[in-house]
Amino acid sequence: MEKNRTIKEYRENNHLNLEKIMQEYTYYLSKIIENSSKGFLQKEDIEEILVDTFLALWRNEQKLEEERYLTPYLVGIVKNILKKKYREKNTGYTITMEQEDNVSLDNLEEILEEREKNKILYSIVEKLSKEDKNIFLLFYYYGKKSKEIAKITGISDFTIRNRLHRIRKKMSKKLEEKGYGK
Amino acid sequence: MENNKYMEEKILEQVVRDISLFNIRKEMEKKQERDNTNQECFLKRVAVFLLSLLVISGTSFATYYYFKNIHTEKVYALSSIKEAEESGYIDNIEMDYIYAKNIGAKVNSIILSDNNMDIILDFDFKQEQLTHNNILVNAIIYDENNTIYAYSDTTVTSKGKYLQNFYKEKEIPYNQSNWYEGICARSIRQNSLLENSEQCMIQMSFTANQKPFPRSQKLYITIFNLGYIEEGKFTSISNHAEWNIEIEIPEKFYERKTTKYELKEEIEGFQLNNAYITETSMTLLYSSETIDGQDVILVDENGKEYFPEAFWYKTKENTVLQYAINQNTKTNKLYLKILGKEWELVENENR
Repeated sequence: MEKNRTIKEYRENNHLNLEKIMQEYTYYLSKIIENSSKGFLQKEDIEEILVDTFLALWRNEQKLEEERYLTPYLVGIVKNILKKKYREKNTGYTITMEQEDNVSLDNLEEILEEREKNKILYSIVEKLSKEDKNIFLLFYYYGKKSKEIAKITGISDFTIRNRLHRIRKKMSKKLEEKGYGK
Repeated sequence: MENNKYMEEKILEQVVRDISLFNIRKEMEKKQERDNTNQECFLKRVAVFLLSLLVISGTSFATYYYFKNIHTEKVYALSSIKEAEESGYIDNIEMDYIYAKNIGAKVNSIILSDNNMDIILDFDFKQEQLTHNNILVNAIIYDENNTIYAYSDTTVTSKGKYLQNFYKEKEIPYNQSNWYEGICARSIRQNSLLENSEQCMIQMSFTANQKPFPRSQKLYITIFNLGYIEEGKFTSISNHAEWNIEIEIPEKFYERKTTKYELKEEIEGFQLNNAYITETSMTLLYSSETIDGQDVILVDENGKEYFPEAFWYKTKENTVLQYAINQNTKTNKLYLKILGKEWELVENENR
């Protein structure tokens, strides 16, 4: 991982190359979290914070200043999240970090709440068949249109749209059951 | 090391899953908002209908204006522009509304190639309720070099006054007997996508004149009037408000691909002056005394025929045609079919 890369250097086609960033920073940030928490956090907590961090980066991607270095920015996000989690656990522990950037995340609360809503739908995603999961991710993560997915998977465009419709219906119903629907 | 790789993959999987879920929920929320708006609109329509019955059933038969909530799909000058958009050739712009006289304005998206431009403008009327349909935008669009992309002015009485003032302010020399010379867009079409009392979205579609749209990195949109046409006259609703919006053009637009073509062999009585295919469509310029635009058919290597779009036109120098074919849909070989005979087109430049 090159520590002196700017955010601009991780942009491709006007978007951040999130996969590249995760590849380069997952281990590095996990060590920072581990060292800062002095063993207070379990492995699952650390993974949770990592996911929150990359999601916060993704959600704020359009607001990022291109000439900023990515490393201190990410560390700044981690600190914000840790502070919030520690507040929740009420440990009184003080976090110290090197290399952090002064990162103001006014939508962090919103991002973490949105993540909680996502968790309601994890079980649906886990139960999808391999094929359906592939279609779901191609559409909602890779932003492919149904026609493109049809070409990639060899399944007809109509079937793709049908399956996406079924997935949406299931998720909509689940959210409604939990009070997030109509 | 293996543990690191495992953790990376696990985190990646979870992030991809969460981003997908964010996106699907956002889509559901938008649909819900639309459904709520439609339901509201339906109830309002019922209320207005009942009210109108009440009025009509009385002794007064005065006419009234009935504001309709409008929600329509985008209209494309060519199907190839729609195909380009569906392939991702669009820039969705995130910006806040800019307010003037309590009305907010912003740009939602832009598509830009050498020969086509499509912009969605979004107006916030929450503070000043919208009460008329078929809103028209009067605006001037120009780039960082003051090259004017388009000028839209539906106020007949102004006689291009805003354009003249623009030239003077920017100290741009212009043709006194033809102020519109040098403006890139030949045609402008406006289409209301959404109109309700609180919001209005307008699609503005532009086709380039004989010269391509430039490779700008910034565009400036100055909206100087908003209004509607009633009894042939433009009535303003914006109370002299003016909005100045600046947008950064993404690299995919100013580094866009355009392929130029020439004829492999000459055609008697037909001079091909320019032919190019962009990310959105094809433009062809030729001169001929005997051959009409509708007789110039484009054929691809699979035998698929493309007829020139209905809005072809003639100038002093050229007949200008457009075809619904783009960089994604073109084949390696292309032909012009004129009066039954096919002539091969060859690529001569890629920019």
